[in-house]
Order: sequence, then C-alpha cells, then structure tokens
Amino acid sequence: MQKYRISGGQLIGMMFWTIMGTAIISLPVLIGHHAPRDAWAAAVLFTIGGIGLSLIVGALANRFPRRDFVVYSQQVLGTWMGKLLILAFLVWLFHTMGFVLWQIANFISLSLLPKTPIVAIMAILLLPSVYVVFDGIESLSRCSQVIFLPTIIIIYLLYLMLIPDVNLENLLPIFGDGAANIFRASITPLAWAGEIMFVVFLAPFLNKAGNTIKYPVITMVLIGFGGVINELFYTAVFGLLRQHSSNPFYSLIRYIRPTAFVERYDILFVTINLLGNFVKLSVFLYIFVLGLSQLMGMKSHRPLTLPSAAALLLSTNYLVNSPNELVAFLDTVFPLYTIPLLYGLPALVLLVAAIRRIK
Amino acid sequence: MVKKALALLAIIPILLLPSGCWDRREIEDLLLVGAIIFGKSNVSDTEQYRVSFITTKPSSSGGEQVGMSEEGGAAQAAMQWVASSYGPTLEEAMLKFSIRSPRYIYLAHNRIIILEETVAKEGISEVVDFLVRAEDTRLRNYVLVIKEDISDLLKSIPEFEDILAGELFSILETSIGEGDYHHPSDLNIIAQGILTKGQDPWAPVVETFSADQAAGRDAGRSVIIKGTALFRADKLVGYLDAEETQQFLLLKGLANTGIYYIDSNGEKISYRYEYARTRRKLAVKDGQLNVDYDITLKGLLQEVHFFSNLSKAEIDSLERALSVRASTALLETINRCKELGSDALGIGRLIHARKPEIWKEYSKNWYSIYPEIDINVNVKVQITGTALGSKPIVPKASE
Repeated sequence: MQKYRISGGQLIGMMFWTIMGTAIISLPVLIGHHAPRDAWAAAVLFTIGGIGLSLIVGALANRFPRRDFVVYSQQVLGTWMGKLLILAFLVWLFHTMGFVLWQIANFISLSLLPKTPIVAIMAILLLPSVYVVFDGIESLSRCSQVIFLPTIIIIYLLYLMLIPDVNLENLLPIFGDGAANIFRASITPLAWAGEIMFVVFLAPFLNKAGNTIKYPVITMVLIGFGGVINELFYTAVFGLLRQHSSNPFYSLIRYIRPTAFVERYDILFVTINLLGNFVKLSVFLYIFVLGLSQLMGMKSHRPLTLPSAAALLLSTNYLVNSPNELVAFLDTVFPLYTIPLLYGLPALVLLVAAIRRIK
Repeated sequence: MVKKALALLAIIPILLLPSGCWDRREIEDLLLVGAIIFGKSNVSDTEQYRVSFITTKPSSSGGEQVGMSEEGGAAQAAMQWVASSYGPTLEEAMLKFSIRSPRYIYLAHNRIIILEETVAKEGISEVVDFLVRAEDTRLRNYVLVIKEDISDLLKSIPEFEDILAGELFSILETSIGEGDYHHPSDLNIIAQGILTKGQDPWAPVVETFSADQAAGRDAGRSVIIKGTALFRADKLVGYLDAEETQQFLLLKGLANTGIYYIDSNGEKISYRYEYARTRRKLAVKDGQLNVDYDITLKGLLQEVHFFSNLSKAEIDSLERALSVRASTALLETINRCKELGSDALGIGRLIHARKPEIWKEYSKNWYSIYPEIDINVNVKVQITGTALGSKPIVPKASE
C-alpha cells in the first residue's frame, strides 16, 4: 500500500490549530494577569520563541529525512536514554491532552449545556478525533486543510466588526507594565509555542523531504500575527476589564454590535472553537498513539487509538477540578517542565547528533 | 457482513443524541428579560437588594389578538411583565424570581441595565461584578441611572415598542445621531471606569414624566433619557443636565451634532455643528501640567430671524462669538466635573497614557490633585454655510 504523504499546506493547517486551539482560550487570561496593556508584546515574544524552536525542529527534520523521531532519537541518544525521554514526552502529551479536552468540554458545559455531565460532553468531543486518528494521517491532514481556511476567515471577519469599539488609548503607555511583567506574561505562551516541535513527528509524512524548516516557521508567523491581533483587540476593547474575563475571546465576540439582520455572533465562536480544537485534539491523540506504537515497536498505531482515548476520558476527570485551578497551574507549574521538555528534547537530539556526526 | 452490522450498531447511539439532551429548553419556557433594575431598599429593617425585571411575556410574544376594540383595531395582549424581588445578596434576589415565574430566567437577550440612585450612591461595583460574572449577560448591555423612585418607571407604558426595555434601547440607539442629549454607556465602559485609575464611569439618566397630565387623563407615564450621571470610582456623585451633557460629550470626543445659540442684535441665532473633532494635549510649563482641549466644530447657521446679508466680516464675528460661547460652556462643565470630584473625562488616564512618569507621582492621590489641574479649552467654530436659501420671513415693522 502506498503510504500517504501530506503537503506543506496541510502541515501548516494541522499545526496552526494545534497551537491556536486552546491558545486563543487560555493564553489571553494568563497574559492579562501580568501585562494587560502590553499583552501584544507577550505575543511577539511567543512568536520569537516559536520561530527559534522551529529552526531547531526544521534542522532536525532535514537531518533525518523520512525517518521517525522516536527511532532516530534512540539511535542518537542511546536506546535507554532515548526511550526514557520519549516516554517522558508521551506522559507530558497525555497529561496536556487531558487539559485540552477538559477545557473545551468545560467551555461547552458552562456556556451551552450546564446540566449535562462533563464526561458525556468529553466523550462526544473525543469520538470524531478517535475516528480520524484511527483512520490515520490522511484523514487528519485533510480535515485540518478543510477547517483551516474558513475558520481563519471567520475570525478575521469577527475582528473587522469590532473595529468601531476599539479604543487605542487603552494600549498606552506602551511598555507601561514594565519589562519584568511582560517577560513574566510570556512564559506560559512560550511553553505553548513549544508545541511546534510536534513537527518532528509529522515531518516523515511530508511529500518533500529535506525542506522542512519553512513550514513550522510559516506556522509560527501566522499564529504570532493572529496572537498579536488578538491581544491588541482584547486590550483595545476591554482595557483593564480583560483581566476579569474568564474567556476574553468569547466576551469579545459577544460584544460585537448587533446589526439589523445578524444579532448574535456567539455561534460562530462555538463553531471555530469546536473545529479548531477538534484538530488540536486529533493531532495530540495521533502523535500520542504514533509515538507510543513506535516506542513499543508496533507496526500500526491503530490498536492503541481506542484504549488511549478511553484512558484519557477516564483520567481527565482526575486531572482538573476547576477552571481557576487550571489557570493557576498553567500560569505557574506548567511552563516549568514544559519549556525544558519541548524545547530541550529536539535541541538535545540535534546537538548530540551534530557532535556524534550521526546522519 | 459483520462490518455492516457494526456500522448499523454505531448509528443507533448517534441517532439517540439528537432526540434530546439534558439541557433542552424550549423558547416558550424562557423568561426573556429585557431590562434589569437594581436598587436597594429596607425590608424588615435590613437593607436588601431589590432586583426588578422588565420582560417580554412569552405567551404573547407572538402578538396574538385577544379581541377587537371599539375602534376596530386589534388590541394586543399585555406584552410586558414587570416584577421585583428582594434579597440580601444579588444572587438570592435573582433566584427568587423562580418562585413566581413559571419560566426560566434568561438574561442573554437583556439589553438595558438600570441603576437606582440608592444603589448607585452606595457603590455599583457589586452589581457590575455580578453582571460581568453572570455567564449569559453581555457586556453590550446599556447602563442607565434613574434618579426618582422606580415605581413610576415600572408603571410607565411603552409608546412605540412592545416593552419598555425595547423603547429605552431604541431611544438610546436612534437619537444618538440626532442631538447630543445623551450617549449610551455600556457595561464594558462602566466596568473599565471602575477598574481604571484616572477614568471614572458615567451613564445617561432616565426620567419619567407624565405626558397626559394636561389632558386630565390618568394615563401612564413616558420615559425620556436626558443628562448624565457621573461616578467617582463606583459611587454616584452627581448629575450633568442636558446642556452640560452636550459639553461633556464634546470633551469626550463622542459628540455627533448639537446646537449653540447666541444673541446677536437682540435676536437669537442658532448654530448646529455637524462635525466635531476633539484633540487633547498635555503641556508642561514651569513644572505645571496643563491639559489643552482643541475642539473644532463645523456646522451651519440653522436659524436666523433677522435680515442680514451675512458678509464675511459678519460671519467671522459670529464665529468668534460662538467660539467664546462654546468655550465658556465647556469650561463650566469641566469645573462642574471637578466640583463633583469625578474624573469621568479621563484626565488622569490621559496623563497616564502620555506622561507615565508624571502619572507615577499623581496616581498616589489623584482625586486631590485632579481639581487643581489646569484645563484649557480652545474652540474653533467654523460656519460652513448659512443654511438659508432665501431671506428669512421677518415682519414688516422690524425691517
């Protein structure tokens, strides 16, 4: 059977929503806590960090074209060291996937279905992802490609409609929050940007091997641009009130001035949120089962899909209790282990490979 | 075969999903709240929150006919349902509606929030926090302040729309471009005003008046929106009347159109500006901080009741006279804001934005520095035309 190859555009579509999916929900809250007026600066730092990592990831993928990260990292770092680090990464992935699932489910539960048990919502959210992941990279990449463009267009249309409510004075004084606060605000976003390293798992599927660097860089530039625009709008429209909104993007969409023929735009947010996070969840789940199957030397990832999803569904209930707890965790603990893992792992493999001259 | 059977089996749970869910709520089960009124009152010697709703009656929202009145027009069933509830906390006062209303309280379509003077004077932060926190209210809810007792407001009958909330909303939305009597302020602006140092909240004022008193009928009262309520942090400190509101909106840069009149040769001339541009500048002179307002108005002479060919020189002198008239009025309003101790004009925020290093000093005790800040107004009135195509109609004797 001919193995399906994904195109660069599909990779960008996948990675865009993988990072943006929950970044658009939780990052503004975290950034707003520390640097409400200069939030856009944190988004710029996020982009710089992401592009830096993209260069490492791209170089790594170019060095080992058509080869799986799980396999060559063991070759480079030694079997046991490699296995241990991949395992640590998979544990991180599973844990983070739990947050992602809980966050989307919690949003739906709060805003749309307050009485429905959250497990039921999570199960329904997981079902399409499980189906796509079971089908493999072809379904996943095509879904992402289809979702990518319409969602982006809708987001920017929504921003256009908010322009009358923009008060640019809310952004002044520039850098008034202080450099320390801006750097503090950008720590969790930097951890988020680390997710661009997933490209090393997806690069072997690319149709043009050895030319990988530009795709993660383009993805990061797109996300960074979107992020800066988002943060500018949150601050310009809500000022200091953005610190008090648990979901600034949703508040923003609900704030659009109703017109005679369209009064409410909430549904567009729900659509974007569900579609984007479907991509995010699917990519996370796919990389998890792919990594696990390669680590265990299995021929196919398929047998692992359903058990992993079931395990995720069961454990998510014990991972998170409340939105405030999650925000506090993401703000303080999460970046502490995420940044070393996501930035360190590919950098370490590249460094050791360069020293040991392994190709 | 097995695959087909499995696929069919998989379809069954999917079919079950659309048939119902835990949160099914039919639209006729919803109490569509159009306006919420917050106040405080004494109930059995303890001060409690009073929350009043103005809602659309769900059963009649289709506008069904209940019979023909004498004139032959179709009378409609009462559209509006008004009720109040009391509670020591806002949440409790809100929940108590459920023991009276057989519908679910639904705030997502609420458009108006009215604050009674009682609650506004004590501080609105609790109410605003409650509304921002409530998951279904929107930040685009317009906020109004009411001076008088709300019983008149609750009894007043909407004259154009189905319910009072719709009437208030329409007045706020349509008359905004017609004259600077008020400008809507929403929950977002109010909440930002409470939170931001150097920027206080403000909201238009709603009043009721009896339109039919002269006719001797005991008809209901009607609503008007006029004037502005000024806050200091979250407490109401005073009101601006209609004329002061016009100046206030010019200073805020929210003006659309308004009228100034002056006396010339014993006759009144009214000038209507259709374009207003407000620029604010900060200047430091000898260690003294000055705020300069540059306001440019462009408009027409709308009413001239004496004969004149309005030469260039005459127009120039009219422009000068109007500029003086406008800047006096603007300065009076600025002083009124200072007297009340409310920085609704956002002077502090302007200093923060443009001169952060000075603001660091000032922000410590801004409210005592604010009245001392020198604010200058520089108005440039331009008469772009006379709006007179022909000679005015003037009685013979006066010529």
